[in-house]
Amino acid sequence: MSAKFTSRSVLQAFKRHVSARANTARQESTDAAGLQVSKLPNGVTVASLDSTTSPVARVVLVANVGPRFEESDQLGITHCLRVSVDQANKSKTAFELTRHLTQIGANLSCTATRENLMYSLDCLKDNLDIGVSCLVSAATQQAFKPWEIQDCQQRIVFEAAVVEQQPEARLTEMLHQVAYRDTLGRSLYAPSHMFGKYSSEMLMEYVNKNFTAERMAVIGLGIGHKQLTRYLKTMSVPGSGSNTAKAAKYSGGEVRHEIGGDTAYAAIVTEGLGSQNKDAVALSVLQCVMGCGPTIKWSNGSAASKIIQAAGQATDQPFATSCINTTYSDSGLFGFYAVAQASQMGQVLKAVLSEFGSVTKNGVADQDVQKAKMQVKACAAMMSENGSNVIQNIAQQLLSEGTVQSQEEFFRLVDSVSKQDVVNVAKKVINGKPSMAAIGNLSTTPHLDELM
Amino acid sequence: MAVAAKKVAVTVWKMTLAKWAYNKSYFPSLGMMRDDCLYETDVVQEAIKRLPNNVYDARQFRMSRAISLSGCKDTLPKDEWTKLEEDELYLQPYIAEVERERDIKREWNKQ
Repeated sequence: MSAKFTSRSVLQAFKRHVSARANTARQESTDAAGLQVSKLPNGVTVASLDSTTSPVARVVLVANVGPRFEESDQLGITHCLRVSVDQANKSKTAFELTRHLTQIGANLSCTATRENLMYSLDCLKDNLDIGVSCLVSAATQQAFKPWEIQDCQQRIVFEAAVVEQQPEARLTEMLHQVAYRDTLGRSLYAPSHMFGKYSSEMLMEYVNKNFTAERMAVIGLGIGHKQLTRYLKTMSVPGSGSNTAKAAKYSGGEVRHEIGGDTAYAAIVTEGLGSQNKDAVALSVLQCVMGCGPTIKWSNGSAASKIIQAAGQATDQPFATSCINTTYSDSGLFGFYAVAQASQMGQVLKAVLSEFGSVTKNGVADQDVQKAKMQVKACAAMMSENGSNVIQNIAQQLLSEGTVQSQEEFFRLVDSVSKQDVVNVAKKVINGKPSMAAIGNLSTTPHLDELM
Repeated sequence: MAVAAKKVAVTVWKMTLAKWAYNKSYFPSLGMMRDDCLYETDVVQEAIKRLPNNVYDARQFRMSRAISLSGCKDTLPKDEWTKLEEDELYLQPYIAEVERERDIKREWNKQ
């Protein structure tokens, strides 16, 4: 069992989807219309997608709980929740939980994004009864024994130290913090002043307040609907009452953190679009027009990516740059990040920014839009080859929108994006208030007001 | 005798006998409770580690007071002795939990 920590991937704007049966047998694939959604008596949404090709079943319990919902005295509590997934709960001790799972050869993990907490179980179809009972007990019947919470604090310290070593991860956290301040600006990881301060009562209160039925869903892949509903019959929801999420308010600003070294990392974004916005697909196309990194491994990518091409002309030293398009349910971030040698950072940033500026002034070429649309569709299709991607995508769509889009619908939406749509969304998004985060050796990295 | 917090209907003469036996014991005169006097086996030690801080501190205080009293061959004044009604079996739930966990481990390791 592992407690994975992931933040939203760069191409999260894509609505991932269910792929058609025509694909190869290696894939966990089903008919697009096969997703069945219903509601349990306790109010939790259940969805299932049956598949006959794979012997593996996946079940994900997703709760709309994340750093976004933390109060200022609860910073990092989601981190604590995530690492305590394998601790004792009301129906099983930690030892029992581990042994049950190893007995059936299953994986139980907890993934946190800024908006959702996903408890995922992968196991063989024959062992689903034990597997699902372990999953439900770990996700909804947390006991938070005080002596075990103390053990968890060590894990939190370790993970925070690992993140501290990775400038890219710190850059993402800094970027969100400066862009949103609270709600989506809250970090995925616990701050150092909270180490050792999470108590059993605090965690229990957080769970009882936020794990409510309408904010939870269970999705099964490779399992029949009746079967899944039967396993979930005894599930009880820890929280009650309803509380609306605070809307994410984009503020913009600048934050810099000097840590020395050879390289500098910077990200500049403006407010993007939420996943429910009708122009979100056009924004993904724009992202691929600007360039998402090399399409051929180990190449320098200038053939595929406009911003890599622009930055390559500004410097002859190693660099990397990619367009960012992060989407949440009601807001997003659109821009780019760049990594370069400390002395070249100014040129690289100015070159990439001018590329973005030229899109708003001069528009985009037809063939760039065509190429981008194909890339969006191909990327979405490739992501759907992995069962865990499929199920996490369904989970997030179900919670934020209430419905799940199939691959055909998504492809149709991508195909219907016109050049004018891309230019319009570019003008709308790129001309917004910018946010900048920079970390590394910032000796020659310009400030935001020097760049704009 | 009733275990932990369960209230069991006990006949009057049993209760009287229990009170008499309790008051004749040494430990209430030092202000201790029954669970303070348990021999510290592995199970009991693990249970003590799980006590909440305030319960643990109170236990430590009672034991230190008792040790210093017994060192002077003294006891508390009669009105401060622990009474049977006030005696709380605070450690029993933790002991039960530790024993249950050990039983589960033993069962699993048998296979």
